Amino acid sequence: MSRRKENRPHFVKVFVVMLFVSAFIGDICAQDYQKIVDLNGRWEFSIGDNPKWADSNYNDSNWERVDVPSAWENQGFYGYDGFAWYRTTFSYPVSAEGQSMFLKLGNIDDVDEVFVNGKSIGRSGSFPPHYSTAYNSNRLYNIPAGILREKNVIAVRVYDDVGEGGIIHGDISIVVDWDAIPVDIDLQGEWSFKTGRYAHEDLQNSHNWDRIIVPGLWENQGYKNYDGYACYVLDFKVDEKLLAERMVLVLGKIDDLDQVIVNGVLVGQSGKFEPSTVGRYSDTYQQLRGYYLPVNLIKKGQENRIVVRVYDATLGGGIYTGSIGLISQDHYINYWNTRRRRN
Amino acid sequence: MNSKIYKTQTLKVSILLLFLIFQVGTIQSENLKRLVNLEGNWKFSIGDDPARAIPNYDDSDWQNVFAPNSWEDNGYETYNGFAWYRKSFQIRLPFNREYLYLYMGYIDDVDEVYLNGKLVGASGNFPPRMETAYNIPRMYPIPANLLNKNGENVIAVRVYDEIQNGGITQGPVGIFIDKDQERMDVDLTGYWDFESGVSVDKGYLKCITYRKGKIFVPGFWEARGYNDLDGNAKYTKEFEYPSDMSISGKALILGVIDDEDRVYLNGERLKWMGTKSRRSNWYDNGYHLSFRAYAIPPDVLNSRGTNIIEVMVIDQGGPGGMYKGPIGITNIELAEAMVKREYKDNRSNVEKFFDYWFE
Repeated sequence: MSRRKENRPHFVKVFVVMLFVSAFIGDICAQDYQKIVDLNGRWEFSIGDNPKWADSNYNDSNWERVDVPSAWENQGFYGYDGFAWYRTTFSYPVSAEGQSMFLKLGNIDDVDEVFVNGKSIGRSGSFPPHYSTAYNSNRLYNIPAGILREKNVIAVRVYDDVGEGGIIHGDISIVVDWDAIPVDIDLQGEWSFKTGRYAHEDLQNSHNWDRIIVPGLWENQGYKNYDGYACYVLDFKVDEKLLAERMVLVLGKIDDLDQVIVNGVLVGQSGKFEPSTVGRYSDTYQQLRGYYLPVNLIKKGQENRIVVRVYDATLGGGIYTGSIGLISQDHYINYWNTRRRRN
Repeated sequence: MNSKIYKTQTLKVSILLLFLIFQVGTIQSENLKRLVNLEGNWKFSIGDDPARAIPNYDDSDWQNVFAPNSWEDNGYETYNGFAWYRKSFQIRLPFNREYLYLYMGYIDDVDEVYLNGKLVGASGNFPPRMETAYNIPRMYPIPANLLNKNGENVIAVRVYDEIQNGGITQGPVGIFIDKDQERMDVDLTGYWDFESGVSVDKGYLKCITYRKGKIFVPGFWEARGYNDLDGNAKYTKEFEYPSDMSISGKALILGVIDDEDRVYLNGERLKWMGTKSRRSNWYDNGYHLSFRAYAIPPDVLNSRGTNIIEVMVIDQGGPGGMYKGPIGITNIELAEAMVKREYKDNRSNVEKFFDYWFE
């Protein structure tokens, strides 16, 4: 099939170009989210910076009150640049029990880190001394399952370099993704992270690597404009009651290519995990990653290690959205069958 | 959302178009008789478990899906990964057939096919080092004695899809025999010696139809354990020619070969009868669609001992090999008739349209 084969790549190329042109406009938030808690309105606010302000028990009763969303420069803090914190509370949204929830904070000028009940759930941009802004990125943070209580405290640490400052724009709310995969063992949160093609050869020092929130684009977490290879590592123990013989590792969506090693065993990768194949896999960044693990690969009562190597060709980068964790094959089958019935 | 739908639609239409241009008629000229139709509802479950290959595995809580059709179009949008299909059927076996042909159409990307619990075919490579075979038409030979004449047979298909559409995406799906094969004086289907310089895919070694150093003909070699093979390969077959049969006025039929070939019978190079297919055109030299018949010169056949056929095949890419029957020796008259039949313009209107405008 010589000639046939020769001709085909041209069509493929045209497609790839078409895909790229059409795909990179507003795709990353193309999921269906439903708002379940409205957080627009008055929040507690203080300029300054103090790690204790992340604490859910901190008493903020003497703080100022400001409207969110709105630039703090329009809320009585005209001309202020620097650190400030926002705090508010919300009740557990019972209607979304067991679903994947996200905190939507719209646009923040310039850098932020977000805590729910004292636990860091995400950040965008990078604080001084290695300052980089993320004022034009749309904040949407996964709220890890299991950290919510009846009464919950959100604390947002913001740094503004210059201009308006604060949570300035958006429909500030908690939204739910009904299509998210309900993992049995949630692995969202802080992972170790290192850039570079050979980062995975330095695994023995992974405890000294940078920390990064998974899921979340690395470009929003201090790696502005970084394209290329990076490596994620997570060491974790599991509750053996949640383990089944056959487990699926769910890694949300990854931009662009990835290679996944669990307890030293290669469990899957995008094609051959080669940069030259990014064209062929031009829409992998939209694919849900569900890696079927070999039987009994996850060990009870001891540390397990997941290593994810990622190659990003352009924009974004990293494990950026969706559920992250382990789910038993039976629950995974149920999830897909339920989703089929719903559609 | 709209742009997303639009995108997938354009993609689908374009893929459809590609198929119309490139894939039409890959098996239509074969004189196939269908014994079992396997198109229709199948039991389906995502996930993976070797126990699902066992004939009496309980699949009562599985979903129903239609095949051939991608699982995305069966309600599993955006699903990638493992899934299994299962179906049971009955069959009336024909006489004198050692092997029947199980057609599984196109499977995206990788598959293993179990018949009554035995692995009878495999294409591509499963993860972690996945290799797709989405563009390989699946035809697996199945030993007739593996089938239950008086009862249920169960076929179970393990599929892995890496990206985009997945599953048994296109037909034909069923069990067939090639009626023209009965018209051969000497039947040369079955195992040939095979040399290629490429080792067999690991997954295929477990197939009950795998024989070391041999390959079942007809069939694309990608569906016989050589998923990576492009380039040269050599087929060799030794056979006894019946002593009571005339050795003159004979022709060798090798069905269709992808792409080019050189054929030797007892050391003598044989010539193609006729020229290449009329289907050759701007995008295609037509070799992979041209019917192969070779006149056998007098005194080349040996009726008192062993004859040897050697076929060198050069595949330029995509599927390759001696992929379609009939395969055998017959009268020159019948060979001529078959060539003529093949040279009828049986292109579809779409093909004619494209050929006309792009010649």
